[in-house]
Amino acid sequence: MTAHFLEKSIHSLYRSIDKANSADRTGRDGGLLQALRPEVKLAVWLIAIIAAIAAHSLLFIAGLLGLGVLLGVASRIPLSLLVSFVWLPVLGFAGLLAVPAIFLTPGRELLRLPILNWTVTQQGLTSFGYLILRSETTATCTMLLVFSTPLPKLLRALHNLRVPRVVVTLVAMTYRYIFLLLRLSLEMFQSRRSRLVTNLTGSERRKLISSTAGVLVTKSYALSQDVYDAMRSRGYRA
Amino acid sequence: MHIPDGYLSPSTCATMYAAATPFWVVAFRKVSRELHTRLVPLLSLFSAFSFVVMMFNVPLPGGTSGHAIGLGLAAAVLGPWASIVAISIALTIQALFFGDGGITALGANCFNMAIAGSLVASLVYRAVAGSSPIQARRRVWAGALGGYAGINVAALFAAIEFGIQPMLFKDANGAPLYAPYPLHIAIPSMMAGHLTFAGAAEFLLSAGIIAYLQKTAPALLKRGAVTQTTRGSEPQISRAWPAWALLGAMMILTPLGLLTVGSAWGEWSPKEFANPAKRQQIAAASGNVAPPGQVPSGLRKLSSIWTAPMPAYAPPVFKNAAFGYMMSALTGCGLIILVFLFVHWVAKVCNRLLNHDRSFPREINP
Repeated sequence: MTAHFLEKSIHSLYRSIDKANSADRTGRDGGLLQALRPEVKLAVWLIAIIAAIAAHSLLFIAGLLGLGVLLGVASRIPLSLLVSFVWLPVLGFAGLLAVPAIFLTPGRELLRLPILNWTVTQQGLTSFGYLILRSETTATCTMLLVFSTPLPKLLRALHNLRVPRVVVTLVAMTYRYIFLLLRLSLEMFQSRRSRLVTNLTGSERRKLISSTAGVLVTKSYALSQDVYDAMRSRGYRA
Repeated sequence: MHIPDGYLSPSTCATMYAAATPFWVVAFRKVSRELHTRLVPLLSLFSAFSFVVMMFNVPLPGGTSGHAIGLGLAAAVLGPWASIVAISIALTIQALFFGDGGITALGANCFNMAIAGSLVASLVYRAVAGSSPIQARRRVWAGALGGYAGINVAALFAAIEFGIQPMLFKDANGAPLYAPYPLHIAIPSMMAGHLTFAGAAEFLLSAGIIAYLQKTAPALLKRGAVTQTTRGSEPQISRAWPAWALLGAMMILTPLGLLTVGSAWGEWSPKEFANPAKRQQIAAASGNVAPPGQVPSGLRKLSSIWTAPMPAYAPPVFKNAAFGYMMSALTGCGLIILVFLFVHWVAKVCNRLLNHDRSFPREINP
């Protein structure tokens, strides 16, 4: 119980690292999507997402999702990755938000729940379907792009599509340093957890999280100075 | 609070991108000018920090825990403009590489959290911190309250964006196409979680980090210490920017007034007294007390004295009511600013004349 919040934080950090590592692995596999030019994939991905959002037909959105799954299979992206990184988290979040819509949306009554006496309406079910299908489809499209394209190629494609150079550089560096800071945080949490022999009070736990974040701020700032010096010494100009 | 794809309509997403773009442009220009070549490493590291800190589970009183954005800290260390850029980049990476928050909703997410959240957090931080010393306890409160206000304003914006969807977008059978909850459900639901758990996480984390930095790295909390230019000049951020930003946001949001039903209590026109449907609304809004059968004579007489050029915030030249509302807001604010500029000019002239009079040497003053 003491280390509950530490474990939750460690789990969140691990999950992000794990997701990025999986993307890196599958991006290098030889599959259908991996063979396409990243610029084409970016354009198709954007069109697919806009189509899923703009569509007024559940069947069409479900078709897009099915197509995404087929493309994933053809690209040797394991379905277990999509289930654990996309479908379940999205279902958890979007489902939590969408379920009340089944009962709260006024419309034609389909059935009434016993005991609770809540009314399920046709409009409520349709609205629930739109939310879940759209969220799952767009998240699947994004993850297909990420799982099938190594980061350097994706950044190169962004550059070729006229995204300003400084923005691409910022995204690239931020992505890289996220992992450095994730590892630093992980080490700090783990070292602290390994030294814990008693229960911490609420205020001690908050102090621990704050001081970890504080150390991370100062390290980030110091590191940015070092990186700046290293870039300047190599002749970097904005 | 990360809005996924599918919760907002394409037109809402486009509007939110359009609303966020000027802030991004201004923020990027200001930050580029201040940081010059330091921009890339500094903002990359702080964006990465924003990303990582969003994953920390902050223990809350009562045994539960919550996530924070780090708005109070960003306001204290980075200032508003660098904070807008850093949090926007972190949100972009979350959406693009981790599927957290939608790509079409990225404009809305950045507007809510990076822009509105940062501006409000910085405004509150500066207002509360004032010119207090870096080590003052007041700064801890300033950061905490800034973070709390910032995250709640961001949540309110998100709730409004959710809440207007079912009013505007439904299919042929009346089923909501996007977020299904109207404003009266969306706002209380979002705010309940953010005024309590998420707000508390933001409050406690901001306070904790600022208190820690006061002890270990107070230089980081000095205004402009982090974003100071390498070319030696002090960053020039107008103190009036939060007011202008708030004014701009409020003008954009004025068409929300069209969503209200009926007229404001006590602001009824003679025409409304004569309309049976409106009379029922007036009675319902007045505790079921029926309005007088005839239009009060004083109201009838006085209401005809002046006819406004933009009656009911709907200039007759504009066909679109929402655009008319925005133009009315723009005109009204423009007129108020002109009046203040005039008063300011008169005050300046009077002051100059008075000072001139005082500076006249007494010895030779007859």
